Amino acid sequence: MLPEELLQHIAKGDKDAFRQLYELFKARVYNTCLSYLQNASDAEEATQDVFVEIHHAAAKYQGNAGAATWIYRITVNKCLDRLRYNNRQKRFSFLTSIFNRDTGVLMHDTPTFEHPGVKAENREQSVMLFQAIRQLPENQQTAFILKQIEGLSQKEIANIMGLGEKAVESLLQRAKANLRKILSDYYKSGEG
Amino acid sequence: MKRKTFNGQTEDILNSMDGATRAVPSDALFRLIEQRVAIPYTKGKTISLGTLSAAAASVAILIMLNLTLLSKKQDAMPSGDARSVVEYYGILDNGEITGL
Repeated sequence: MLPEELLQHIAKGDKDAFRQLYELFKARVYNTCLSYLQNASDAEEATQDVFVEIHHAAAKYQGNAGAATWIYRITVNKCLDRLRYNNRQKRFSFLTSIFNRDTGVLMHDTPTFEHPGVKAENREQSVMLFQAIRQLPENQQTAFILKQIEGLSQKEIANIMGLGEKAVESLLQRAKANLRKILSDYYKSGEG
Repeated sequence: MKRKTFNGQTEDILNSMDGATRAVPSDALFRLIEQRVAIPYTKGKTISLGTLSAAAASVAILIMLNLTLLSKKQDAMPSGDARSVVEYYGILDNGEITGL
């Protein structure tokens, strides 16, 4: 059954269709969430949010966009919401206590992230890449993650982000330029 | 030469996710999603920007009114009251209070 048909069945309360759609999209949704949030537990929570939203909004799915585009759109929005929430928490941590009362460990500290699917020889570089991605503006982050990590085409990204293909191309160029700058600053600080 | 090496390293970092496999969530995740889906759905009530602005404006007006009233009350308070108390009571060198 096609994902679009599965969504129609989910809207009618078909639990089996929901399970099938989950199996079809769980890796895509979770991998995208992991790339944004860079934390397995946050990514699992965001994946839950995405599928709960899919279940509740299936009846509203119009079919104007493909099911994958619709699901990616929900995923990106949920991840950005969670990122904003995490950033707010970090900001307010200076007003409240920044240390965990029980362990004394610094809270809201972002540890280095190793993607579980990366090739062993690229592990070190990918850690630096994810650190740099965190510093990009939201729309550049989205374009870069969907292109470079999810491997989507510019047309698919344009549909997900509601932009033209040219705009996506420009976003990708700016994202790469910014990443190069962030990485060169990182090297300079390492040399100094 | 060093510059070229650095550029090469940067490009390697940018392309470090090439050939990576997708991460998969834990097997228990679907059960958690099913549990959440089973709970009756209540979408959070959203407050419009207009309502929020009106509420913020009301609070600002209330604060300004309070400050104005407080400053007026302070101006109207006879300063003699405070001075007369000071003049009436006094503390001697030995710590005794006079005027009681």
